[in-house]
Amino acid sequence: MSAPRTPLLSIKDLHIEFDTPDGTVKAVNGINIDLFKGEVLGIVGESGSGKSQSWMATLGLLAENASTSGAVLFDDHNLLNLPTRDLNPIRGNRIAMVFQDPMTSLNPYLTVETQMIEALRIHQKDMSKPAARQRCIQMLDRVAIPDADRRLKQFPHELSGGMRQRVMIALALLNDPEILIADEPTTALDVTIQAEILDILLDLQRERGMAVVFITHDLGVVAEICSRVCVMYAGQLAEVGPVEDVFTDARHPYTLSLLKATPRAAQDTTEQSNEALYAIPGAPPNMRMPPQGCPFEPRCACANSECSQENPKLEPLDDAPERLKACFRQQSSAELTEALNHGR
Amino acid sequence: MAASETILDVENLSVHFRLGGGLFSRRSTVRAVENVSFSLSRGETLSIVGESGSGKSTLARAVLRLVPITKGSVVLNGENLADLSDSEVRKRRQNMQMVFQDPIASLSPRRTVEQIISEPLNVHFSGLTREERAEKVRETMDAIGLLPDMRNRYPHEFSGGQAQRIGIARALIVEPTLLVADEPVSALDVSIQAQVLNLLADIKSQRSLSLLFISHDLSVVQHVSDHLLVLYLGHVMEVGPAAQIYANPQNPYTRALLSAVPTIDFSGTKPQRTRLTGELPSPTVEHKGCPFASRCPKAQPACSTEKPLLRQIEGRDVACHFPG
Repeated sequence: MSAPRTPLLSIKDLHIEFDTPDGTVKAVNGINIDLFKGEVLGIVGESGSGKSQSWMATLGLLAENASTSGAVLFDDHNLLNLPTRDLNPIRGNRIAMVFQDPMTSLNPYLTVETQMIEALRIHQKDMSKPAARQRCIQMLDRVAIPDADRRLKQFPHELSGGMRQRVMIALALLNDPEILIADEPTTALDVTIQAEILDILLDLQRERGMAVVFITHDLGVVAEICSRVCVMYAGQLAEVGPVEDVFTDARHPYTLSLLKATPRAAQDTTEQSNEALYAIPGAPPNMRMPPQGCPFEPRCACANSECSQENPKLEPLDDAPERLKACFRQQSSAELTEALNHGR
Repeated sequence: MAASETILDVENLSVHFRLGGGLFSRRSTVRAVENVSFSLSRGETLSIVGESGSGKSTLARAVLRLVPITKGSVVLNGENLADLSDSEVRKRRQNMQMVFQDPIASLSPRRTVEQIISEPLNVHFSGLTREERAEKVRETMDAIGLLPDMRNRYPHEFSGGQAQRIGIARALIVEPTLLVADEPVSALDVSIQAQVLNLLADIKSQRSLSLLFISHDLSVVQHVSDHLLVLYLGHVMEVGPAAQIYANPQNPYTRALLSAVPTIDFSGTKPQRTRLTGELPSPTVEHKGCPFASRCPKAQPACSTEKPLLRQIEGRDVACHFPG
């Protein structure tokens, strides 16, 4: 690799815990992620892997019962301990977020216009209302909402799910953010609408050179739109690297298991479809009592005694320094596949 | 495959719902399912796919007569369910069971696993002794991969995947010939989803069960299906062998739907995505022509005036004036 690039945003040894009546939930356990300018970074993982919470933390959006340690560095600030007063000019302005459910993230009592203009003028105080309105119409046009002028006057319930999500994206991009965090933005939508929204999102990303963090459980979506991917399991990073490398040559048994558990809609209809999927045995660990070793060890087909003793660190691969994995086993993808097929 | 026994034969099935008619609302009719025909043989899986609002769940529910049938027939094991009284249909439900989308919400939180799984026996096997019931529950739990010592636990103690197993056990205990699964894995994570899909495949082959599978996830559907039925606004767009439709869709809607599925494919040979514009039209409108004409990239004037009938093309039935 050439000279190391400086990341736009860096998550350093981030820990997130939630205090609950049943004990402390260790949702995120020491993750390190660098986000670079202009990249589309996929964050994949199953429910409870901490994929959303890690990014909610960067914008100070964690629930009241959360406590954090570590740092999220952005433009010489540590976002984790920035007072709200100083965080507000950043979030929604330089770092914006789109959530999964557009109905609950839009205010049902306010028109699209009111919500969009508010988002603009809160950050650009000297902008006149007509100018703000003009900018909103442009933005709605940009996300392919026909008849933007009329749509502005409508309430969220008058829009379809796909329309609402487009409004959310328009809202998030109004202030030209450097980073867009998209948390499962298309999960609630039909594939046809999803495809359209992903296209729009990618066009806008290229046009503005913005960095996008795309949080999803859908490996297919990651393969189609992301350049790099972080695979999360039980509050930790299992594997990080360029999407194509990670998906075609997975080195962490969890990544490989996940890929083998995913039904593929491939062109190759004849051979693929009736082959049994790899079912990862068991269930993710209880994050109130995470195992002391590797969190995937109880379900891993490749684990040995070492794995249950100690939690492996995320380290660069010997043969590919731009890729990282947290696993003691040093097998190739083919050897791991073999182990998966034969069980532990 | 040899000519196999037809379990389910649906013909010209329509389900309409009347809306409104109150003081301030205009009366209208939602045409949820329009003239749908298909059949399903023993031991085979037919999947119904389509966007939200396409009528796939309504169609499945109509097959079980959980919603009133407006027109047409549903022949299960040689008997037309549309002609039967409610109490007669209830008796036939032993042969047709359903698995629901939300595994936790579909189980009563106040009942133990044993009570939940054995409940259908009250209706369909009421003559069994207590021991026979317990034995049947044990057998079914075992077949589904639930440990017998779980039988006194409550649903909230289970993860989504295990709760879905309980739902499947409840459906299977009366030994149905037809299992209707409405989005059975959509609420589950990938690793758990694979467990449940493999389980469904196993029980299907062991019991030569026929499966009617509803899903919006076209990758999952491709994995499980023998036959595929593509629904748009309640109309069949294409129906036939799943492998052939996936390999070479003939209806432009099927093509658009399949090309929109995100795939893990770095070979660069992925077919060009057909972009659809606009959204599903209102289901209250009666279509003179093809219901997909307003969004179809290949639409011609004839499409909006004349309804295409299903005709055989390349080994499956397609409703389109300009297939291919």
